[in-house]
Amino acid sequence: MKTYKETFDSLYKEIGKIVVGQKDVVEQIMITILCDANALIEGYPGLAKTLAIKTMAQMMNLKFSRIQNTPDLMPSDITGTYIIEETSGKRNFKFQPGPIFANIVLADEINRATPKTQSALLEAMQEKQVTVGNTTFKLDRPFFVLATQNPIEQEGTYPLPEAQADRFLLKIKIGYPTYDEEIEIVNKYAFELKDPKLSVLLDKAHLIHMHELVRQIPIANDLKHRIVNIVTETRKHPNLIEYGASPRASIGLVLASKARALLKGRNYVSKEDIDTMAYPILRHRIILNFEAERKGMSTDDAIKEIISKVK
Amino acid sequence: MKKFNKVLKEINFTFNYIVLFNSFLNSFLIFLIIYIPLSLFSFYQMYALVPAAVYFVIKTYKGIRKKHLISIEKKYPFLNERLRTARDNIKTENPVVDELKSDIMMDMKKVEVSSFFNQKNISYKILLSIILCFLVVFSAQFDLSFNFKDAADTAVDFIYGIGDNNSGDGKQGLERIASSGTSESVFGDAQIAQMGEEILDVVIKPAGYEINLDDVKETEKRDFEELFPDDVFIETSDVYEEKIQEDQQELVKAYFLKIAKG
Repeated sequence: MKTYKETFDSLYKEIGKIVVGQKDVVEQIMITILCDANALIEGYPGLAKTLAIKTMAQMMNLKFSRIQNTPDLMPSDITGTYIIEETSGKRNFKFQPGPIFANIVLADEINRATPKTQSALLEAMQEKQVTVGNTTFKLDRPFFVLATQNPIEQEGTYPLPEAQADRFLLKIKIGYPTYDEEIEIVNKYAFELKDPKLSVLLDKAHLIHMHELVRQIPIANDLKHRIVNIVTETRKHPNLIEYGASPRASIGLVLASKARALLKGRNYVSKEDIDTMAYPILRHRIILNFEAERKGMSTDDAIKEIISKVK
Repeated sequence: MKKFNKVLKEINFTFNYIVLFNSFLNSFLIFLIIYIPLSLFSFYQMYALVPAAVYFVIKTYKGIRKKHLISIEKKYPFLNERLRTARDNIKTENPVVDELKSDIMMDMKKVEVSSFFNQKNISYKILLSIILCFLVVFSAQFDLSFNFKDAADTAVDFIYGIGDNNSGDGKQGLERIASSGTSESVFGDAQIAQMGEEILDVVIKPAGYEINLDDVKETEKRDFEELFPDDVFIETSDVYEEKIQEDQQELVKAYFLKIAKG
């Protein structure tokens, strides 16, 4: 476990060469990758969402692709399509893979794509395979989709339905950097042209092994009960929450807590892991009611209240 | 991971032992604390066993049911959540769980049983028990007891004495009680006290003696004359007969008969 911790510490250090601050975001993206799941990243433009993901893919020696979602994007633009190829006077249909055939897919501004295109992407996320015509193509493992969302400029967008959002393990919120961090960002990118060299610290085999390792991390029974209590509690507050989280949230919270424990170099899940991971796990799975919104409450406030109520 | 099983069993055994010790000590204190007043107020002292036994049973039951691992985790934060996790995954076998178990076994060496005994508290309790035991011994030695009935009578007398100033003897309150001569509890039994300075020569024969079955013989048949002691005989009453002459005796008899009839 110590070796893994050292590896992750080095990873944070390397990422720190490119991305200033945002340690929590990097940690949560790493948790998503360790859980073999997908994440929804929400933040204002210019907060290094794309840069962080691209850097991580680079450091893990993974194939990275980016899809810039627009309303006119078609599902075939993501999955790929058959094209006519002419070889020695014969015309054949050849499958041209789309950007989905990568290890890390960054779906930028997913809420700008039409529901049809969103569905194509989400199917790939869930099944880890793509069906074009009559042929099913298995996606290369590991496969992660990191979709970004912009909380502003909601006009002309197609917000993800709750059922679709539930398929993302985490909803990661990116906040603004601190004053000192911003000074560092300015110094780093306003004066130098060269990008620092990054070393590869993990590879595909390592990641696949880690996926198994995460599931092996033990959790105490009382902590399992705590997780289920937190999730079920979201369904017991009609004065605050209109729709609570599904059992998928319980599974996700256990997995994410385990992954966090591994990141911290621990061979057991702690209460702290659960309480920390409850926010990104639940924030896109609960819908506040009108009364809570009128009071100016955010989903994080509701989660905080729920956590404080659970023993 | 049989070794880890052993560790868990040892933890349970040690904690049950601690629980039993604490429960016993507390129960003993409760017994003594209740025993002394019962003894002083002349109640049946063994009633003190009831609350002590009830306390012992409840405390031991609760103590044994308590989750011992949490107590260890609270005392030793480096074991926090790890012990419980390993216990809950005792049947799971994978490299991560095995590593956790072996780590815990290493760290358990730093756990001291003595840290679960509150030495100061236990010392005070033992000291208190000793003091209470001495009190019991002294109260028995000097026969210290307080009789409610006598106390109530005394109190009534005392109150009556204060209330009735014209009792006749000119004495009041405690003075009256002290000189009344009826307070047997204070001065003892009046009949015994009347003996004054006479010496009572009492020989107390031993209660038990040996019976030799060989000494038991057939009873001898004896005459009454032989059995009856010589110094015991029937003597006729001659209170007045010996002082009155024989010739005048008839006259005296007639005189008394005449008086009786008259």
